[in-house]
Formats: sequence, C-alpha cells, structure tokens
Amino acid sequence: MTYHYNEAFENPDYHYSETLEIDRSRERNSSFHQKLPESSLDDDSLYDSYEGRSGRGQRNQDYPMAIPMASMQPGFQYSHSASRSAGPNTNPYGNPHINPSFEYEPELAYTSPSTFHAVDGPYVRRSSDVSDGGNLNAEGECSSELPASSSQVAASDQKMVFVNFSRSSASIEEGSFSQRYNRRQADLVYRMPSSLLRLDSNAETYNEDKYKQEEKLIKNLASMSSRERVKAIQKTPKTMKEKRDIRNKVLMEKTKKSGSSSTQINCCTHCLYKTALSYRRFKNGLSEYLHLLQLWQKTLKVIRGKFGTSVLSYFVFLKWLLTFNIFSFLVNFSFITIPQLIASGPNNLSFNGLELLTGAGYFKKTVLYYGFYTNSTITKTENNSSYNMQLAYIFTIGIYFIICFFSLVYSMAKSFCKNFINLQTYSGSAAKLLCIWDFNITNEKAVKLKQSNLSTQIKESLSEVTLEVLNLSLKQKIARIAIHLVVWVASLGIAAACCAGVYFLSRNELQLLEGNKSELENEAATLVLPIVVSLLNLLIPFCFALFGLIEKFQYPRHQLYTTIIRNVCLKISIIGILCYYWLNDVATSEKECWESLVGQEIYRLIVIDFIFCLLGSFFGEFVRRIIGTKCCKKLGVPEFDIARNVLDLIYTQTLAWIGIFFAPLMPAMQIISFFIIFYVKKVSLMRNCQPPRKVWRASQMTTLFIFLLFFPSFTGVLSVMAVTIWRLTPSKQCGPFQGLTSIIHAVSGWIHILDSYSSSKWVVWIYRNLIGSVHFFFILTVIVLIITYLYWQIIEGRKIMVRLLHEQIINEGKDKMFLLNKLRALQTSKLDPPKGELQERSSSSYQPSRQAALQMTTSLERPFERNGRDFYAEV
Amino acid sequence: AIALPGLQAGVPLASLLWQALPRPSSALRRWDPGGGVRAVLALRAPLSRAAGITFPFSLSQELTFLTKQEILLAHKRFRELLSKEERESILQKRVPKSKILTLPELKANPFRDRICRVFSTSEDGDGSMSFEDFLDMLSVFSDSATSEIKSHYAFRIFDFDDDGTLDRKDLEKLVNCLTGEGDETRLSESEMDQLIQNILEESDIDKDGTINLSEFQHVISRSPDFASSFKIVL
Repeated sequence: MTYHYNEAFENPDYHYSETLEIDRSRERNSSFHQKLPESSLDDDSLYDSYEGRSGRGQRNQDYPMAIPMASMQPGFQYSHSASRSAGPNTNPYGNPHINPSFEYEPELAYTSPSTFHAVDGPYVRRSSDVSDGGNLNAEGECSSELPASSSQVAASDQKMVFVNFSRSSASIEEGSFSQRYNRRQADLVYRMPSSLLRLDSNAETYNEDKYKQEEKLIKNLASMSSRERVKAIQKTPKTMKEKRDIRNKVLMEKTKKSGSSSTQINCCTHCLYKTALSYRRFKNGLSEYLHLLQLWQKTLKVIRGKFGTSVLSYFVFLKWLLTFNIFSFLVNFSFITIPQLIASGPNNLSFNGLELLTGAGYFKKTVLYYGFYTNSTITKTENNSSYNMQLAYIFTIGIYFIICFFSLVYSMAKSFCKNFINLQTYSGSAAKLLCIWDFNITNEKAVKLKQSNLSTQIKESLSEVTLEVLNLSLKQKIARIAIHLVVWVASLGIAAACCAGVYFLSRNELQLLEGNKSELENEAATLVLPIVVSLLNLLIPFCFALFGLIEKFQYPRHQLYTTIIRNVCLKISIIGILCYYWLNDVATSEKECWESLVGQEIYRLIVIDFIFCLLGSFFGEFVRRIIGTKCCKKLGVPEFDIARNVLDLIYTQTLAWIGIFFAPLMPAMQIISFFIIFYVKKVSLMRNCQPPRKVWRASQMTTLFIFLLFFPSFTGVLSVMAVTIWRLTPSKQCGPFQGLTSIIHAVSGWIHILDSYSSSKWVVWIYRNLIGSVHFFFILTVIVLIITYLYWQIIEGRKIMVRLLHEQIINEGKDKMFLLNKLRALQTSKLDPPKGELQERSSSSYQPSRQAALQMTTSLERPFERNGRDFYAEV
Repeated sequence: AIALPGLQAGVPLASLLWQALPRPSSALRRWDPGGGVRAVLALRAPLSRAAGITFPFSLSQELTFLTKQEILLAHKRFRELLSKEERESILQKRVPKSKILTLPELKANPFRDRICRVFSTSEDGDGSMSFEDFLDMLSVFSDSATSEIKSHYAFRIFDFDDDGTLDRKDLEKLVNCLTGEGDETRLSESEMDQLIQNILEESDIDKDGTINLSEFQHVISRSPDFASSFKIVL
C-alpha cells in the first residue's frame, strides 16, 4: 500500500492524464529517453532522485524493501515542509499553487469529485474492502487495458480516474489503520508483474506528461512567426540546454511541415535572402559601433557598483540631456551655421578674454548669435541653387522643437506607462522589501552601508507603524496644517521676492547700459545679474531644505515632493520673469539687435550657472566632507542630493532651449558644460559623498523629472518661442529676419511665392488649410479630447475590473482555505485514532494522517513532487 | 543551391526573412559570422579545433538576451576563471562556485550563493557553473531581459529551500541577507516577526501563508525599479 500511496503522491497527474497511453509513450520514449538524463542534470530534484531510485529498484527486484523506503522519501520531505509551514497564521498547504491569474483550473475541477470520494464514505469503504485482492485485480485489468486504451479517449480516462482515486483513497485509509500490513501489501504488489509495469509507467507518465507539455509548447512555437518564436524561447525560464533542445525541435517541426519542396529557391527569394542577410550584417556592424559610441559605460558601471541605481539615475539623466544637446547642435550647426560660415566675412573685433564670461564683445560678430546671420539667400555655386537663410533658420529651429516635443512626449509616456501604471493604493511598503535589493552594487563597503541603511529603515518603519496607530488630536492636526500653510506662504513669498528683485535689477541694468561708461566696465556690469540669479538658485534651495526641518511630514516621500515643487516654482518663476523682461523690455527698447542681447544674457546665465555648479560641488561636497570628517564628526560624509542636482540640470536645459533661437550654437556650450559637470560630479561623488540613505525610487523620480522637463520647462520655452515668432518685431538692422514685421512673415511670404508655381500647390494647400487654419486645429482638438475621454473611461472600467478581480482572488483563497479545513476536519473526525497509537505514529516515520491531508492537497492543487526546476518550468 | 528550410510560398515575409538569417546549420555556416566580427572568427577557430565543436555564438545570441559583445565579454571573463590547461575546452569545463564568487560582480552580493545555486546545472548541486550556465545568468541579469523572467529568477533566488514558495523561513533568510548578519544591523526576533507578518499581509493574496510565484510577480509589477536594480553587468 505504501507503494500505492506513493504512486498517487508522486504523480497525481497520473489520475487525470493520459496514463493509459503507455504503448505510445513507449515508442516515443525510445527516442525520447535522452531527455531524461538532461533533466536530471538540472538539480538533485525530488522527482529525479525518486525516479533514479525506483529505476534501480526495478532492476534489483529481489530486494523489495528498497522500494518503499526509497519511494517514501519524497513524501517524507514533503511532510517536513508541511510541518514547517504549519505555524500559526499559515496553513499547512505549503505547496506551490501556481496559477497566476487564479483562473478556474480545469484540472482542479476534474479531480475534485474524486477527491471528495476520499472522505465521502460508502464508496470509499467499498473500494477499501476490495482493495486487498481487488486492487491487484484492478491493476491486472488496468494493464490489460493498456494497449487498447491508447486509442480510447476521455470517457475511459475518466473512469480510470475514479478507479485510481478510490484506490488511492483506500490506500490512505488502510495506511492509517495498519502500517505493517501496508508494507506487506506493498511487497505483494511489488512482486506482481503488473505493478512492475505500473512502476515503469509511473516514470513514463511523468515523462510523457513532460513530453506532452513540451510538445504543446513546440507546436505553439512552431506556429509563431520566427521573430516571436525567438522572443518566446528567450523568455522561457529554462537552462540553455533545454532552450536549445526546444529550438531544435521547433525547427525540426517546421522543416517537417514545410516538407522537401522548399529546398528549391527561385531567384526572387534568393535575392530577398541576400538582402536580409546584408541587412542583418549591417545591423550587427552598426550595433557594434553604437556600442563603442556609448559614452561612459565604464564610469557608469563604477558608479552603479558603488552607489546603486539611485545616484546612477542622475548620471543617466545627464547623459540623456547631453545626447539631446548633441543632436540639436548637429542640426543647428549643419543647417544654419555652415551656410552662414560660407557666406560670412571676416571679424575685425578684438578679443580680450572677458568675453568668455560675458559672451559680448568679440562674440557679437560670430555665428554664436542671431544678429550675425544674414537675411539674404546664399549662392555659392554657378547654377541657380541657392540657400534661403530666413527659411533655413525658422525651419531648422521649428523642426528641432517639434522633434524635441515628440521625443519628450514619447519618453514621458513610456516612462509613465512603465512606472505608474501599477501604482495601487493597497500596496504597502513591507512587500517592497522583496525587491529592494540593488544587485548592481558590487562594492563591498557599499553593500555593508546599504545593509545597515536598510536595517535602520526597516526598524524605523516598524516603529512608525506602531506610532501611526496613535491618532493625532484635533489641536495637533490644526497646528500641523497651520505650519504647512505658513511654510508654503513663506516659500512662495521668497520666490516672489526673488522674482521682483531680479526684475528690477535687470531693468536697472538696461538703463546702466545706456549710460556712458567704458566698454569694459559695461561688460563687467552685465555680469551682476547672472551672478545674482545663480546665487539665488544656489541659496534659496538650502532655505527650503531648512523649512523641511520645521515641517514634520508623515512620509519622507511627501517632504521630497514638496521640496521639489518649491524648487521648481522658484527656478521656473525666475526664468519666467527673465523671459518677461526680455520679451517685454529688451525687445521693445529700440536697441540695436535685441535678439543678440538676449542671446548674450542667456550665455552669461549659463556660464555663471556652470561656474556656480562647480563651486557648489566644491563647497557643498568637498568642504562639507572636510568639515564632516575633521571638525564636526556628527555631520559625517555628505549625501549626494539627487533631486537638487537634477533640478539644476533642468534649469540650465530650459535656458539653453530658450537660447537656441537667439544663439543657435547654445547647444555647443551645453555640451561642453555637461561634459565637465559629468566628470566633476563623478570625482566629487567618488571622493566626498556617500549614497543617499533613504530609498530613492529611481524610475518614478526619473519619470517625474522628465515630466518636469516637459511641463513647466519645455512648454514654457514653446510659449516664449511662439510669442517671439508671432508677436514680436525683429530688429531692423541685423539678423535673418531684418525688415519683417514679424518673424512668421518669412514663412507666409515664402508661401506666397510658392503660390505662383503650379507644382508646389500642395504645400500651399497644406499651409492654408491645415497649419494656418483655425478650423483644423479646432477639429483636431475636439478629436483628441474625445479620444482622451474614451481612454479615460476605459481606464475607469479597468480599475473597477481590477478591484473586482482582486476581491475575487481573496474570496477564492478563502474558499480554498474553508474547503481544505473542512476536509481536514472531516478526516480527523473519521480517523480519530486512540491516543497511544497517535504517539506511536508521531514517533514513527510514517505519518498517515498527515499524509492523508497531503494527499488532499496534492489532488486539489498542483502536484508537489516536481522539484524546483520542473515546477518552475511549467509556469 | 542553398538549402533553406521553411522557404515556401505560404510562409509570411517576416518569417521568411528571419529564416534567412544565419544560424549554425551546416548549409548556412559560412554566413554565420555576421557583421565582420573578426574577433568571433578568431575566437571560434581555436575553440572548434580544441573542443571539436563550433561555439554557437549566434545560437547563444538567439537563446539569450545578450548581444554579441556581451557574449564575447562573458567568454573572456569566463576564460580568465579557468586555468591555462582548461581554457582549451571551455565549453565542457565547470568552474567551481568558489571561483565564480571571486568575480567582483558577485563577490559582495549577499545573494551570491543562491545565484550560483539557481543557475548552476551541476548534478551534485555544488553550484559550479559551465559557460552556458554563466551565459544564462548574465542573460537574466542583463539589461534587455524582460521583467517577467527577472522576477521569475528573483523568486528562485529568494526561495532558499527550493520548495517553490517563499514561506516564513525563506523570508527570514531574505531579510537577513538584506540587513546583513552583523549584530547591530540584524533585526530582533519580534521585529522580524512583525516584518514578515507585514510582508505576508501585503503580498500573500490568497492567504495561504506563503508567497508563491504569481504573488511575487504581482509585488514586483508594482515596483518599477526592480528591472533596473535586478541587474548585473560584466
């Protein structure tokens, strides 16, 4: 009987799978047996060990005792694991329940009726009466049925299921009653040739089951398109060997299907083949060079190893901005600057070094600024081809902004989709521990640091949980809200005051420039404004950080977000006020070439900001570390402030975007400054800083930063551009648009000229009816709004669906628990053995009642006998 | 004439194109070194001579998430782990766990033993790795591996007793790995109990007292940082 039990336990699939197709499996096995050793290579699996032993046992059939002992072992282990998990608040069914979607499992439905027979009584009893001799008969029958049944289908299968189950349930009962008898029974059974067959078939059914699954998989794969197939094979969590086997089998299948007719190739397919090949070769080569092009791979790896993904995200963001700037530099340089360089005359201004800071003087008459570009068409070649600078200027910048817009929207959407789609309110923080470890960290010290940080964090959060149970009194709540309000008012007030200061200072400067002073003094005076702005940008965030100490947020996350929002408010309002000053005061001041003046101001702002950034990392990090380690040990080594640094980057990028129109080579400046910042920050980080103690949700924060880069920053830049192009009058004496009333007139004039050519009527049509027409944009907006609304509704529906499904999962879990408890209760009440026997049983290695319970679970849920790898492979 | 399996009228264009792509079947072998990868060729020649087999670069590229460069780098690093005599037959040799763990990428990782154990196909479970196992590991930890496969292997790494679920014992070991075994950082017993209770409450959806793979993947799906942090790059 032990044997029976083990068989049922070892392979519950047996009862509802194609047990009876042994003859077929035989044939297959002859070719398929090679698979076995491979799978047993994988690990010391429970099943494989069993299989190996039973296989041995089969050979040494004169030593029957070897079998029960050996075959009992898996059950042993299982009961061990069950007893382990049977602590409080857990249930003993610590077996894998792998059903990701918690679907209604057909297998489950299939077996459960017979499972209930196990406790149901009459039928069971009857079968247990029979079991001594009848069992063997049944087995004989079974084996005689075997060849025929391979052709039979579900009906006979189902019958067999019942027989099998009743038998196995009988075995449980008997097992619980007399143990010695079981042994004898097992030996008896074992000596029977039919049982031998069964033993064999047991292994084979398992094989076959595996084989079936694989066959199904292979069939699936074969029906896929090749690219999908490769993806699917890549995704299967198996070892290389298994994957290779699957792949080869799929290919075999494919060739079998396609037959031999495919060997002939006509010219066309040959051609196709060749192009595909060269394309592939080209792609490979390209990827290789692109790989070389990837900047700072090693540096990033070092940072990742020492500081983890959080700090890395800053550098990745920096790199991303750098590529943005390289792209815009290439575009501007090739379409605007090169033609201008061809046409431009010599520059006769002197160079005295201060220009590098102020951007004025010598640079005024270079391609750096708007004012230097001509409004004429450039013709260098003899034939008629010419280059219209006006159109080139406006189209290059326009198209650049459009590309920027789409790439920003794309990366933002992708990032949102990845990081915010699954944010659900019922997710707690403890579960996050499951995936909190950063495998990137390879530095031993960093690992130690991370571990201690995690430890303190866990301890803190555990104590917080207990603290938060305490409800705050009304007074405390009001006090808290009042503090928040006061701090918000104060910080917004500070931002407003900064803006006002900057505005008056800049107006003053404009008047200063009109005064009569020496050129050098004038140039030096222009540096005041950028220095003040940079100082504000450097100091006010510290002030905001101090506010954070007064406010006590419940979650550190809230503090982080509020600090970021305040800083963004400050920076964007300063840029906003500067833009207002440029567009409102400078542009209408009747100065010569106001566009170049704006360009110079932006140049100065960027340069000074860059210098302050260097100083900031010197004082903020280097000196701070010296103080922290030498003088005031309490402070310790500074942390790398990711948020502040990223916001600085966003600030300069905004300035650079505004500057592109007024100084087309601004991206070049950005490239240089970002390059230097990268190295300075890296060195400063390595020397002075430690990784941030708090958990930094790198991907969510990156999403937020990309969003910030898009929303106040890029959209702000677009509106500034729109005002400049549509509303303002370009300066009369310089620049590509001199003499026009507004810049957009360059385009409308061009359209007017095109109107006279019949071949380009479509351009005119597009301009008039699509770009220039209000109706088109009105309709477009309405359509977009409708689509947005539809999607929003779909999202709402999905949310409800998700909630329902979640509830359903919980209910199913409860159902399962309830049923299992009931089963166990019934069983214990039925078996209810005398006390002495119970003790005896617990001391003996064979524990029927527990095994009986286990039997239930194995039949209710997925078989457990599959060891780790097999069972994983199923998923 | 070129023998191309699966080329016939009914095959859709995309699959036809893919079919045409090089793979190391005998008829196609001469195209296999795509993209002027002389290095691959140079590498492969002595290999095939020594081991009597060709090293299937494009095959391993097809079966893993790694690019050719990454495979080459992995090959180089793996070779360094072997002694001079063993280098000849790199595909057959297994590197013992102790040597694998000398890699700086794994040396400090608190889960290093589990990683070796999970990816090793060694019969005696000693965690030794063949080159293929090594590639498998790198593939899972690579940038381009999907989140599902990452979470799958993460689950197996955290499943310390290989029983297919994360139960209390596994979670305890996991937390110990996270906080380190030192006396100061280790959680007290009550803290540990509370923490595991919290974890189970949040992630054990069907309330069976353990976290199974699907529940684990559910947790993972809610933390977008996982894919970028579950990464080891050579």
